[in-house]
Amino acid sequence: MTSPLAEVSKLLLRYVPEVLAQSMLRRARAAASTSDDPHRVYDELRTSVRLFVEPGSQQALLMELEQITGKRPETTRERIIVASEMDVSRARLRARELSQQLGGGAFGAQRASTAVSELARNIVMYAGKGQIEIIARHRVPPVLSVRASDQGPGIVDTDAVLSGAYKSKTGLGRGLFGVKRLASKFTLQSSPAGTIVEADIPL
Amino acid sequence: MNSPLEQEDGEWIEHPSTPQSFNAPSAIPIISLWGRLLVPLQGDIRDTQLQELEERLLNTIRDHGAEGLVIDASGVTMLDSHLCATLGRTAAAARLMGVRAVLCGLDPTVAMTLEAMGLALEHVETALVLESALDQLGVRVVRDEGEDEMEEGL
Repeated sequence: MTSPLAEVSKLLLRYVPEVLAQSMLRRARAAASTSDDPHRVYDELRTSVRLFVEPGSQQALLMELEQITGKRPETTRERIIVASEMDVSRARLRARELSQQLGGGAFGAQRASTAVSELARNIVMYAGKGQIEIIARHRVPPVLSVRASDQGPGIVDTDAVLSGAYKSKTGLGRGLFGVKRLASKFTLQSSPAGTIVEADIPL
Repeated sequence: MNSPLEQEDGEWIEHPSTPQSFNAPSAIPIISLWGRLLVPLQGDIRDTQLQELEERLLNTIRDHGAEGLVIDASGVTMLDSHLCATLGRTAAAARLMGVRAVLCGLDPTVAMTLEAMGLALEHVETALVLESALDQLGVRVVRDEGEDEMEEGL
């Protein structure tokens, strides 16, 4: 039986020139040597695939790669309790780190971090306390699913907020509207018992 | 309420809340430079830091005057709607006191994100880098071209 990496090497050769395949493997091995996570080498390969393989064949290559490597425990899930300004800072920093781990670029990490900052700040400003849940998904492109929930008084006119028509002095409406524009999927449920915002940010 | 996220299985990594007193942010410096005020924003900026800065900055302008204000954002990791609104308000207040404010050095990813979100920095003039911001406020650099010759003469 051939080793998984030899199989990966053969697979890569069907999609990219030999010199590129070798460099992708080298890069992955080097990254894996700094971590004891066995999936690290494949994470790094996925990043290389996104960087160097033409977009049209990425999905097919990644699916074949998954057959060799087994499925990555899909994702990282993190729950951040948000009750202070310090927590808002930490939430947006964590969103940035998770985006980078997923292989998202600088712009992707910036969008994810900004979206989480908006949602976390709204929690602290309008509900006092709540939580941010982040799921980092290995997809093409990678996605950061964010869910912000609180038991605050709720948003009175959600339609106005989401159409961008509403504008508060503090910028609440602008923030949520902005998050909606950054998200590939966005839902907002609000009642006097609390608010839940879910947003998928593609990186 | 049921949520698609909650229905998925898997382990959650939990981050508890941090007390507000822990790791209190430091004050943002205000640097006086050739009659202008320079405010360098660095790293992760918090709301209370920016609010405190606004008050201190306007007091400095009242007490000592200024021919202009430059906010250098080249070290800022992130700007969201609230930070933008606070910066805009500070610049507008400075303007009311007769001081022009120029924001410079915005990181491309920050600028692109603000644009994608449809956020605008209102009431603020912008410049690419610190030099051009100071230039807009009338600071001219005059280099002493004759220096080398003078040294030779000695």
